[in-house]
Amino acid sequence: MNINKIPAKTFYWLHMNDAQIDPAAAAAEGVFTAENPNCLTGRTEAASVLDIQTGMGDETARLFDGAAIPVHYFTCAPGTKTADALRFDFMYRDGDSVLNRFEFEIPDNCDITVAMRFSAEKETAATAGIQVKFKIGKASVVRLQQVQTLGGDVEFYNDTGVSCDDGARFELTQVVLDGKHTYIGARTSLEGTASALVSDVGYLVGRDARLDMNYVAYHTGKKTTCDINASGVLSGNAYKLFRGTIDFRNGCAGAVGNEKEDIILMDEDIVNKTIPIILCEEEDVEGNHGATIGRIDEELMFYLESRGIPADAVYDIMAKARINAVAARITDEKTRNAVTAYLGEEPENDE
Amino acid sequence: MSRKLLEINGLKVNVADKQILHGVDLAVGSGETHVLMGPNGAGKSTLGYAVMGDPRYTVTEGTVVFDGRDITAENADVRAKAGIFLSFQNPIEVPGISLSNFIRSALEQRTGKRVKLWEFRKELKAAMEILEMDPAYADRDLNVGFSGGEKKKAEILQLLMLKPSLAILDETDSGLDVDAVRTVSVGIKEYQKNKNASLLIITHSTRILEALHVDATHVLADGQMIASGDASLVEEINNHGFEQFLAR
Amino acid sequence: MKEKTQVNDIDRSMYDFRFENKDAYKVHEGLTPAIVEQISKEKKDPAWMEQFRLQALQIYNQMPFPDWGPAIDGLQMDNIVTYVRPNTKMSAKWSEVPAEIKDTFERLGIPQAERKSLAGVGAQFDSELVYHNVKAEVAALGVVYTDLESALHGEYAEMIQKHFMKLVTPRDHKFAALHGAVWSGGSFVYVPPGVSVEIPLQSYFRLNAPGAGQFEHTLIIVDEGAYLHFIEGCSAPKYNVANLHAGCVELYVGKNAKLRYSTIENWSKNMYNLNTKRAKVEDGGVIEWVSGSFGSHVSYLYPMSILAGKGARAEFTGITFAGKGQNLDTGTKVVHNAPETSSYVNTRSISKDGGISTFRSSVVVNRNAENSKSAVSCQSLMLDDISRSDTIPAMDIRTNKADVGHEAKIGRISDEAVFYLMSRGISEEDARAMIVSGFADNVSKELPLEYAVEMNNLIRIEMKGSIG
Repeated sequence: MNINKIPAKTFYWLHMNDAQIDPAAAAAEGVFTAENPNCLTGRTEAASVLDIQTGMGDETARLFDGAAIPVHYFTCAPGTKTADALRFDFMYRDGDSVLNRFEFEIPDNCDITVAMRFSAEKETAATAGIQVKFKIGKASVVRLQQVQTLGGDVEFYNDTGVSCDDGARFELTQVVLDGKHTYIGARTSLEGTASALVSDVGYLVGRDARLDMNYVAYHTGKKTTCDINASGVLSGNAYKLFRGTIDFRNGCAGAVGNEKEDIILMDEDIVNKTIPIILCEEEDVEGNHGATIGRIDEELMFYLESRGIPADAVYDIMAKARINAVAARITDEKTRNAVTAYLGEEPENDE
Repeated sequence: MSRKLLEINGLKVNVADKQILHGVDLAVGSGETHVLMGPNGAGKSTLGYAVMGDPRYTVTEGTVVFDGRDITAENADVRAKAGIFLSFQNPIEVPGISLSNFIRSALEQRTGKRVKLWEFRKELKAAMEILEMDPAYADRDLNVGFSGGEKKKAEILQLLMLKPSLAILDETDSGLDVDAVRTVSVGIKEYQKNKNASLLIITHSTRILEALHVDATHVLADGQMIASGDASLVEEINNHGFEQFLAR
Repeated sequence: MKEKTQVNDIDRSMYDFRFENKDAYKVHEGLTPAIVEQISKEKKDPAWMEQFRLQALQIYNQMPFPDWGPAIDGLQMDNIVTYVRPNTKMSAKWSEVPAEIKDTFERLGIPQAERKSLAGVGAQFDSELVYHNVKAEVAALGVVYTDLESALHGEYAEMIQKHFMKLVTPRDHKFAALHGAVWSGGSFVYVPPGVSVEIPLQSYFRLNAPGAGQFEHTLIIVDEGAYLHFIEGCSAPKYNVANLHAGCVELYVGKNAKLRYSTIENWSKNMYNLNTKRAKVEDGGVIEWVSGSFGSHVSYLYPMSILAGKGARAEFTGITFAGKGQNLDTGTKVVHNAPETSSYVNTRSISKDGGISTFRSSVVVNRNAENSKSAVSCQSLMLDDISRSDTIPAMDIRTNKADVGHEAKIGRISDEAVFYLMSRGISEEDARAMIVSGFADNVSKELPLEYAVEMNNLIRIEMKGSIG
């Protein structure tokens, strides 16, 4: 099936228009534990409740609808604000072929954080996928904070779809630290006036790992804003494809979109692909995209070396600094600590 | 008073649905220099933009009459052609159009005639010398990358070249060092040499006025004229501030 | 004397005049091996060329139409006349060109431009060149500027066979295959080593016949250390039937050579402009593209630079203005295939009156392109909310020893800037036109003066009546 399609196709020979996957049919629901779920009320449904498009696209319906897994549906009373995150921990096991599905309907004036951690033991070969949908009510703030520390042989699908009402704000923070093939799709529909998306992804891709991303901000509401940031480090034979689209639809007057990508390439055999798209059918908008790809700035390198830090260490420091900068956006301490612990444990993992 | 050039009658102005001017009257005669003072947020700049016809400033009541003609509903370009000039506090950067080409186009629009390049260049060079501007600025894109002082000088340069009958200078001295203020004053004096040239100087300081002849002074506060007088009023405000008028 | 370059109030109709070329020789509409053979015979092709054409036709029939760009449904290939020969032979003397054709080019200012500022001029009318001339002093340097057909039979025949459609092969895409099958006309330029041609050469393409296609082939070889500026202009009168332009430009830039290739494209708005341009640059060589796209109903245009030699460099400066009924998909492609190569892309696009402009690009930095640099900057301007402007830049980087930067911006004309200009007495229409011209400045300042003036006039025409 074809997933992570960009909203406007380009030259086929670039192989960026979509990703082709052929996952085995999921055998079961992935095992997870939940912490502090009392702030929301949950129930399980047999099928999807929220009709919201996701970043990986229509064809993932075949993947998720085809599997006989429940949809965990959560909601809460209007005005619910919790400091503690609703936390999910997924631990994939060898031989798993599993999926999970979550849907959140958040009413007006709420402030909710959902944290998810995906991990697997070393030497685990598995296929796993997750789909998360949010319907965010007026003036509500929702944070989704995901940290992925999967071993070297897990194929992972991470699919998100969000719709925002007036004044709603969605903050997505994702940290990708390992995995064999990782596919991320996240689509946010900014329908409500002055709704906002802030999306940050930080990644370390090494060995022969593959990271394929598709972020879409779909602006229909007036004065909507999006900030899409990607920052990462590629090493070994890593392959990375970043697709980021700001789609200004007619009527989104006053909208502003910014997209930024910052990548450091460590080794000779990497493949780094980027396609930042701005689509625009509205006059009164402002869209910007910037990308810097390559080595560490020579001046900075010289400065650090002059203070006695060898070049290799500079790269290591810079790589960690990037990930830590993204991780710092994770408000849930436990989830954030997972990142630091991972970086501390295996500082040389890509060397 | 000499022939009235600008007459503002009971002007009420809104910005984004908020009323800023609450019925302002002001008359400037031909060849006169008026000073408009007042505390921050009084509506001084609003008055300037409203006279120039900025579409973001909505006139809800009152009229602006220029040279005997009601221009309240006219576009900015029509007002400019009629002889009004506004020097902006923060002149806009316009990439791709050189300062010199821009002034020449504005002159051609104003006069409806082609401006001969040679004579124009000569006049421009002379005006730039008065303002101590590097001649290289003539060929740089309009205001792009100009420092604050250079932008202000470029505004006065346009004033000298376009020769309006009324110039409204909006805080032209703000953010300038002493030397730059002096240069700008020299430019304004040069403009005043034409005995029909009228000035409305909006300022909250008096530095720029030191070397200039002033016919009348007005004080605006909270969108209303609270005092008017002759040049001596400037001195009074200098010594005692605005509080005395606000207290009345 | 009134010269085209000084006319301020030109209107678009100056490009729209046409005359009926009743005596012209045409092939039937549509495309069959028989038609291709007929063209080949008519053009007295060498045997290899006839074979080449027939193979290209086969490839054409196998390949799909592109589905990623603007719709080309209006282009029914069965209705396109692939070959229209004007009823004249090519001439090197202006006086020998038939009066009506001469009149066309005179109105476009071609002979004046030649007298004034060009080293040589070629003029193509429908499928064939009708005029070709090079200044004697340029020819004396060994510079060859001729039509491709005569070159195929002359002393450069071997050089042409070695280079013709080697850079853009018929397998590239469907319209490259079509071009290979039915190409006609175009120019061959050879600049010998070390020769610097100080003043530009120009080709002007005029498509006059309704429902016709123009498939000229331009082959330029700038040998080691040489320099050339080549200018290409295109126009056509407006007809109600679709016209097709599927030209091909192949540029070979030798070691330490430099070629500047400038185009002001102003096809009429019934034209499908599916043009392919490509340059291969050897060690230390430079290709500079300057490209203005104003005309056409639909355009697919992405001049490509292949940086094949160490230190080779590409610059692309472009402007696209899409007005009513236009869908202009333009941009550039760069492949860094050698160390220390660099590319700089700077484009502007403007959309107005329901026009669609798309900036599409690809920058590929291969593993062997160590210490290369690429910087892409594209800016788009939306003039109303019924138009559309898309930016689709792709980057594929395969070495860690490269610096690649990209920036894109989209926005509108600021109300403050319009008011500022109006406050100095400039009308709103002129203020907006000035700001748009300023926005297009990146291209106009790269063009020779008279072309810059023409471009600004085109912008002025497009901006007329733009205030509702």
